Amino acid sequence: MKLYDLSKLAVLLVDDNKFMRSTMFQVLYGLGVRSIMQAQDVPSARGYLKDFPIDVLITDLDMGTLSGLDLIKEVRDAIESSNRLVNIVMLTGNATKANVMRARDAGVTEFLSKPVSAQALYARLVEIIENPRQYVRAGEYFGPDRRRKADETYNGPRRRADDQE
Amino acid sequence: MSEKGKFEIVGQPPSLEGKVKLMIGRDADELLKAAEKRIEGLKDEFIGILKRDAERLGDQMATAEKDPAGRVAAIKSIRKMAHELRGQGGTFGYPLISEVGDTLVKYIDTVQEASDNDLKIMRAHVDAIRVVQSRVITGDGGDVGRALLAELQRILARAGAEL
Repeated sequence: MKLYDLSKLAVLLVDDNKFMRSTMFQVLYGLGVRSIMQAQDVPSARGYLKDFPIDVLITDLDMGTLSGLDLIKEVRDAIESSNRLVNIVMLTGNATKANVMRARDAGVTEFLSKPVSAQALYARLVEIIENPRQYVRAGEYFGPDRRRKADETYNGPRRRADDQE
Repeated sequence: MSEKGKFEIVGQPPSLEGKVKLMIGRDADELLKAAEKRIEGLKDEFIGILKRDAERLGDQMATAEKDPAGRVAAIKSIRKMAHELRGQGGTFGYPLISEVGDTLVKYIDTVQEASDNDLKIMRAHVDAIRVVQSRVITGDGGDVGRALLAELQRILARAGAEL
């Protein structure tokens, strides 16, 4: 994998488990990230998102009253926020297909399963750096294009409304 | 709000160019090793958490079995601990903890009102976590690890559980 200097990235880490936040902090620091903000819940995260430009938001899914999905929806719905287009990595120990689909439909950029490894997290960051996805609005959805890459060889039916025009 | 079904390109994400720098001709191996080493530095803390939670899981399981009034809260507590452990075990060399914790959470999520058989299945998982912790079974656990997982699978299959 290519080596990137990540020291200027600003990352907001949201997880209700203190030890998990420590673990993620150490991994991020080890990967060279130096600006790492930490929040234990959605209300705390709101403060950082309001006051600081964030490059990558990493949020746990299962955090009690307000979940990571609630946070993603808030971020994507915040029309006035400078962080509305922030890259979001959803972190979860419950990577069921249903949860992955829910996160995708809420506007997540990348998905990372627990238990985490340095390699897996770095791979998600590199994906964000090397393959940024355009932001789209499709019906109720606002977020990164859920079609990851245009397949030049695709010959099947084109289903998007715009494709019919 | 846009018309239902309408697809519209809104823009590009904020560029990270200028924020990140490609180190040409170098690969990330050393960086990843350094990050893994920082994880290793937290291993003792994880082992302490695992020991504490294995004890608490045993206590909460006993409550769930003996105290119908406290059963719902005890199972909720078991689920929370199992959820946290499944998310951490593999990171610190205990993939069996992640695997058993994951199955336990998924099983609890299928239970409406715990029957005696549900409690037996939860107990088997809690005991498995306690065995892995007390015997320091790291990695896949070899024959012992395989036997533990096989026994849990057998119990789940007998109960007709589809996780």
